[in-house]
Amino acid sequence: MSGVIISDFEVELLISLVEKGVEQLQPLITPEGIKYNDINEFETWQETIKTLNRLEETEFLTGEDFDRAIICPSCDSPHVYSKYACPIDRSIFIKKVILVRHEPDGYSGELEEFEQNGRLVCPKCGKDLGLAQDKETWDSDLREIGYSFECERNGHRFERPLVVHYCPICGSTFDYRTARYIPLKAYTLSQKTYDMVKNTADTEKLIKPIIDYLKQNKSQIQYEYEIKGVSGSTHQFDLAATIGSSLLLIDYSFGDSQELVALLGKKMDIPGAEAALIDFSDNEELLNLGKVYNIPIIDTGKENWVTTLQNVIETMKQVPVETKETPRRRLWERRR
Amino acid sequence: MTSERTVIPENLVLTSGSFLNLLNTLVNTFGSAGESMIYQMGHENGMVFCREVVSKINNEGESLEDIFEKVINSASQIGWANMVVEEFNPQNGKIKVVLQDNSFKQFCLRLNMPQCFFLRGYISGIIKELTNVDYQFSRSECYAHGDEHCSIRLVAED
Repeated sequence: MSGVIISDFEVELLISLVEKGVEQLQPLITPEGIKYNDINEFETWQETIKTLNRLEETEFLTGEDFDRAIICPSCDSPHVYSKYACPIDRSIFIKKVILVRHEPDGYSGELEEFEQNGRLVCPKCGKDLGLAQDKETWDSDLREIGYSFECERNGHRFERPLVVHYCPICGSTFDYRTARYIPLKAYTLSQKTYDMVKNTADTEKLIKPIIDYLKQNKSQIQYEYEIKGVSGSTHQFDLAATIGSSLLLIDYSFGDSQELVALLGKKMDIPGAEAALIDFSDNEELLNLGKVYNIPIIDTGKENWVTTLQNVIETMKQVPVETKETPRRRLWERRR
Repeated sequence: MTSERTVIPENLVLTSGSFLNLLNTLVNTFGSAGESMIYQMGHENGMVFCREVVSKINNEGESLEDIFEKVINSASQIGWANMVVEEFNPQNGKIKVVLQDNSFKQFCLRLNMPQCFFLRGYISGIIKELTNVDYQFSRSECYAHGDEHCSIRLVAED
């Protein structure tokens, strides 16, 4: 998958995660949707997951099965409560009945029968058996022997209630038949991400002297510069510097001569603009090719990089050729 | 042993599909720079073609518009498209050519984007050769954009 391009936005997201020291993104089901750590850049949680899946496909993240979420079929919310219901009329107004026995006298019955003013008292022998709401305080002679459910609407008793889901966002009630049940992944940042972030940081560090020099020469700098050429094609450049009305278009290269050819192709489409290639690879072949294509190669590892850049700046400061009087040739008049 | 020698025809026959494949290789390799290269190829080709046509026709007393139309008509006969000059206004620096029966139509529709960078350059090359003024692409109607016609509009560079 190497060479797959991810968007600038995705690059920024990965950089911010590394800067925050996040190593793994884990899902959390919240009323606002499924959250991953502090990622708040997206309008919907679905967009967040789509992006994370894309970053997994491009191997910047490693996904692993982590959780499941019940999704409301009406509004797509994962913020869902589960409730028990009567299998006869699907009413959620049922109660759980706990059956207990007082071992010494053998009395068995519903827990409710033992309750007296918040305490448990054996209806047969009258012994106090602890606090009704605190199982820890129950007398060891009181044993739970079973349970059942009772519908408060129709009185029906049953052992297993239906499980229904309620969505507080849209108010719909549904069950497993209509619910969506989706896997949630945890995503770990891969080595590829750390390498990419390091390269980006290195690039910024490497171009800093060039940027500083351009600024000293009153250049306006724009990163990720986009411009439409005479062909109608829109071209992107890593960097653009303007001095007055002159434009310098710059791309970065890690030694691939294709970058230089592409820069030449783009330059041809922007008449009057200067172009330069910043090379990070110390590639002598690029230097020679640059001379052939008349595109200066700026390599801060070389001693003469300031002279090279200064020459470009001087060219930019010269009066544009177009302002000189150029006699216009008219071909259709030639044969007159 | 005698062998029959193949007679190489004067004209190279290339389908529009094969031609477009060549161009697409440039775009796939160099991205937007590839589109620019195609435009430049068309531009140079248009200039050379225009020079050849003008050298062969009698343009005595002809207006610039008439000559441009003759060159465009000759280009149509090559098979690029049936080109019709709809607007020709060098004073205002505006030119519009409609491309009927464009041989690239199917590809524009299939790829869902304009495939006319070569023809944009070709027409700008013709007008450059005639007037020595650089024209740049302004906008187009394109089948890929759901337009009913294919047209190329050029404007003189500032």
